Amino acid sequence: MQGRGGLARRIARWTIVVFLIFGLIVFAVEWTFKQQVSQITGQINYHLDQQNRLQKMGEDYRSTVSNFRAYLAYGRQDFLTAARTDRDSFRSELEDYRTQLSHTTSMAQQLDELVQHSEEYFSYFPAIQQMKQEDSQTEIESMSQTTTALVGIVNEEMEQLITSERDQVNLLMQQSQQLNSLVLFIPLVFIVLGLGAALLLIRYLRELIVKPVVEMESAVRRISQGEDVRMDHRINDDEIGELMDGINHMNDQLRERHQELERNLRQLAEQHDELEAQNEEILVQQHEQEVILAKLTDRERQLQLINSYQEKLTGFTTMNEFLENSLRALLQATHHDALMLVIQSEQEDSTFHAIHAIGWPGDMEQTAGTALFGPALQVVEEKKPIVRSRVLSGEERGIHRGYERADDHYYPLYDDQLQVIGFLLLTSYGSAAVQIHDKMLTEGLINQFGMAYQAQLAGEERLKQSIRLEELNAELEVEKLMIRQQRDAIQEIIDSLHEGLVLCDREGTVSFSNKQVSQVLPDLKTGASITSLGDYLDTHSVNTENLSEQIQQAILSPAEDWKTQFSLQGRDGSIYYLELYINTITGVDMKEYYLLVFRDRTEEEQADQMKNEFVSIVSHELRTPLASILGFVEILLHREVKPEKSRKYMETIHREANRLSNLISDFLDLQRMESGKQSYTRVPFDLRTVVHDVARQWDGKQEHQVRIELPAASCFVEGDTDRITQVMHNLISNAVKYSPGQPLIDVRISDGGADWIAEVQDYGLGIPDEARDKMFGKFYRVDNSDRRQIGGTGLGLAIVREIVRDLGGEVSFDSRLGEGSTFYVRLPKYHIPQLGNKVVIIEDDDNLSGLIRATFEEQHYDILSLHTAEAAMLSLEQSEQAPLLCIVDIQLSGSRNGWEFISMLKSREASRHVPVIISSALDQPGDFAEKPNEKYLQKPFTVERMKELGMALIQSGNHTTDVVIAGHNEQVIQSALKKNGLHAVQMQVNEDFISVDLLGEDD
Amino acid sequence: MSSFRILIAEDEPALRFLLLETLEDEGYQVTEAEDGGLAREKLAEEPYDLIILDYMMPEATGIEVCEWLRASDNVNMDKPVILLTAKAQEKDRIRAEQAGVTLYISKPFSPLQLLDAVEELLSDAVGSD
Repeated sequence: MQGRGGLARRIARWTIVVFLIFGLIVFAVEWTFKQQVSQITGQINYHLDQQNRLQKMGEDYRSTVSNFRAYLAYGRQDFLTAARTDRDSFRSELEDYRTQLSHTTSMAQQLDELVQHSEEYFSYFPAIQQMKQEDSQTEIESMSQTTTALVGIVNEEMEQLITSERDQVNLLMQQSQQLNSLVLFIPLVFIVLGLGAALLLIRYLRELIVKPVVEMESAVRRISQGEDVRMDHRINDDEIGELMDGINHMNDQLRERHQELERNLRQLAEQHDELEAQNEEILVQQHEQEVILAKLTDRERQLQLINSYQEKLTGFTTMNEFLENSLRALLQATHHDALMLVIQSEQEDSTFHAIHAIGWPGDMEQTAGTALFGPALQVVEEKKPIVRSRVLSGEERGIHRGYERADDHYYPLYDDQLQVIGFLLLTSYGSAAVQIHDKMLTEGLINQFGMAYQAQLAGEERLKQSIRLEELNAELEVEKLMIRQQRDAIQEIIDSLHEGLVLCDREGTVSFSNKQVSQVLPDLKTGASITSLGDYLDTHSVNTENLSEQIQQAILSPAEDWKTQFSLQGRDGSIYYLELYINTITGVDMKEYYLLVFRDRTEEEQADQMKNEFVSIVSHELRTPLASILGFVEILLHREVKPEKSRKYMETIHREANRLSNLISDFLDLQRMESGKQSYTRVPFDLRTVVHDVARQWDGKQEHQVRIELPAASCFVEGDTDRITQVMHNLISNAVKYSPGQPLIDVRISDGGADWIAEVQDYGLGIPDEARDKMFGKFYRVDNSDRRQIGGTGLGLAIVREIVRDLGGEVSFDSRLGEGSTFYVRLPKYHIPQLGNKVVIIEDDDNLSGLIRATFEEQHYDILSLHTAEAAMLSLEQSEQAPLLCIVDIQLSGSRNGWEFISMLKSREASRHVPVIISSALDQPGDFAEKPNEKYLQKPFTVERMKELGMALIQSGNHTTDVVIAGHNEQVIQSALKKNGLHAVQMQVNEDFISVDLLGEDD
Repeated sequence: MSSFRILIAEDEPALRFLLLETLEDEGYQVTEAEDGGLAREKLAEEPYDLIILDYMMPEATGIEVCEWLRASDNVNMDKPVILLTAKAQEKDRIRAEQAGVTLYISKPFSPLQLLDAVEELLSDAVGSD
């Protein structure tokens, strides 16, 4: 709505102009007044200043006069000085005032006179001063009249000046007041002016907007009342103008619409009359149609019946279901009482079989069959339905009480070639003749049934076939799965082979390769040529060049034992040692295929190399001492040697022979350990004893002092004391050897949490960093000539590591070159088990021990199995309570036997009553030694028997000092006991054992 | 008595002792070196008439010392070298020949046979001079 002369814009423009002008005027007037006022204020301040100066001048002047007079009166010099100072200050102020003075000439004149008179007064000073000094009082007095007159004049003139200054100020003040009153008046004037401007504006707006709006309002009202109004379109080219145009336009439109509506109304009235006439005609036609419809409805009902019957004929899975439902529906639809479906056999005899019957009593379809089927022959031949009336049979009478006769309706059934396959017998009891149209309906329904029956027969057949197919399919699936499993298994077997396999035909076309091939060789896709493989082998093999040719040759003329070995840089960059041989295979297509087998023998090769190296080192190590021995022996044999030299040679021979012997025994030890043939006895022992014993042996040897530091409490570990002793010997011997000139060795045991740590520290040569990894290797000796003097087999630490590892521990070291080394042997702590209230089995054969354990566990006893007499004795020593029963084997690994444990058990007050079963047979030849695998056979009691005896002993509760020993020969047992320091107080011979009342050693 | 100078380099003290005894009894002037490194130092310092090197030594093997010697412009560069070795494999012998070893003796050896060999090598050397 922003037209050229937009209403809002026009109003805004006018308002802005008026207020702009108004504002400018206000600002200008205000500014002028401000200027005036400030100017007047400045003048007032100036005159006030001048006035002040004059007053000051007057004071100074009066002070000069009075000081001078005082001087004259008292003759004191200081008054004179003061008078002079005041005079000077008067003069300078006067000069100040004169320079500031800028107005009226009358005032300048007055000032000149003042200056003249004051100077005249001052000019008398020297003369009077003279007179005073000459003390001529009279002359002074005469002079004083003149001076006093002068002073009066000066004072007067000064007063006049002050007065005229004051007048000036008053004048200016008046002007200022006038201006101020004017300033108050001006705003009033502007308010009035502003109001006037506003009034003008309102008038203008009224003319511009209100009047046209009022006009329009009345125009619109008139239009709404239906008048034809045309608005006077004046000068307005703004929104008002547009609005007026709009109203005019609206008025025109309304006029037109109104005229059109009137025309339409007239037409409608004419049409209405026509329609009235047509309506009459339609009503007549409608009546005729209703009559036809009633006829149709009846026919429709019949069709519906057939249709709904048809619906009941499908959707059944079994024939029985189909017959039961469809026939029952047929019976209902046709209003018969009984029904029988009879089908002619396809065999030669063409007999009839009742397939389904409804509404017949019992098995009447069988019994009355022949009677009922008689008329059927006619139906079959003539292919027409017939009706027979008959008397009810006895059974029928039972059901259909009150009826005498029945009508049998026979309807033929056809197959799809329109051959009669049987008939349907519908029977009604005592009903009237069937109406014509019902008969038609019945025939229609029966035809439907016939077709459905055929369809169901076919469906039945299809169903059977589909079931057969499904079964077949399932069988196939199973077979497929088996084949797949077989294939996967074969694939897995092929993939898990270590050998790489490539299958190709005579032309060299690859038909298969397994994944081992692609680890070393490039991927061989099915269909690739074997020559690409050959080329790759030729370019990457390390020692053979014509592999490709060899392979070609081998394929063309296969030899049974052809194979080749070569080394090859694999795809991962490392060297592989491979062996290749080729098998010829005859495929299902009777063609020959060639299976290239790549066997990776890298590990074998490495093992071979290591073995060779090892043999070489061993031979070197053995030959070196041997060379010295043989050399000196030869010299001794063939030369005259002085006795002292001879002795020296002998010593060398002895030393080297010893070295050789040590070397051989170390080497054999290590060999045995590495091959796992070293057997260890595992006995709990106090590590402190072993460490202490070995350390003591070395103390003082080769000028070394061994310092021993051990915990106060025992440090139990489980292991082979002999082997741990060997470990400690080797470590301390190394420490001594490798610390020449540093004769202190520290040997300690420290607590490592789960382990005890035996430490051996020397302050000798130390181990260089590069040797760290090799320290526990075989024949490794840190190689420099200092150390070469030291000797040793180079196997000591290797043996240490093997032993400690085998015993479940760990060996390590810390070292700094030149400062010494510390070796640590960690062995797991042994926790001593408690025997209290347990069945304790002491048996070194794990199988046997497990068997006994299982038997007693069934009885819910707490079981403890121990392997050695040492362990058992240690536990007995540390247990607070006695065990329930001990089953003791006599021959045990470790250095103690079962008798020793029994002696200890019986010698202790707390445990002397504990029953014991000895699980070894005693009456055996003296030289009998148990071998582990024969042990079970040699046991005198079966495990069952042992359980019986054990339970009896535990439960007897009299707790005599029973020991149960198998056998009957008291003599043998007596001597066995005696040999082991035990004495039987009483013996009782039983069926298969002897029970012994035993007294401990102490008794 | 001859005053031939012989350098023996052997790290095994017992064997060094054996060589020293064997040779000194025959009047040779014997200088000992405990390893390959020392052997090279001694060879660089003074002239010898014959050099006996052990194969397996720390710092440098006998073969390495011999190779070094033959390739140097040392006073001893063309002196006969006997290599003693406990490695008795054929490939070691070939290696030794390639390195310029004059005589290869495997351990254990007979001191008397060694003396014969030394005498022969020295007389050859004198003869050829």
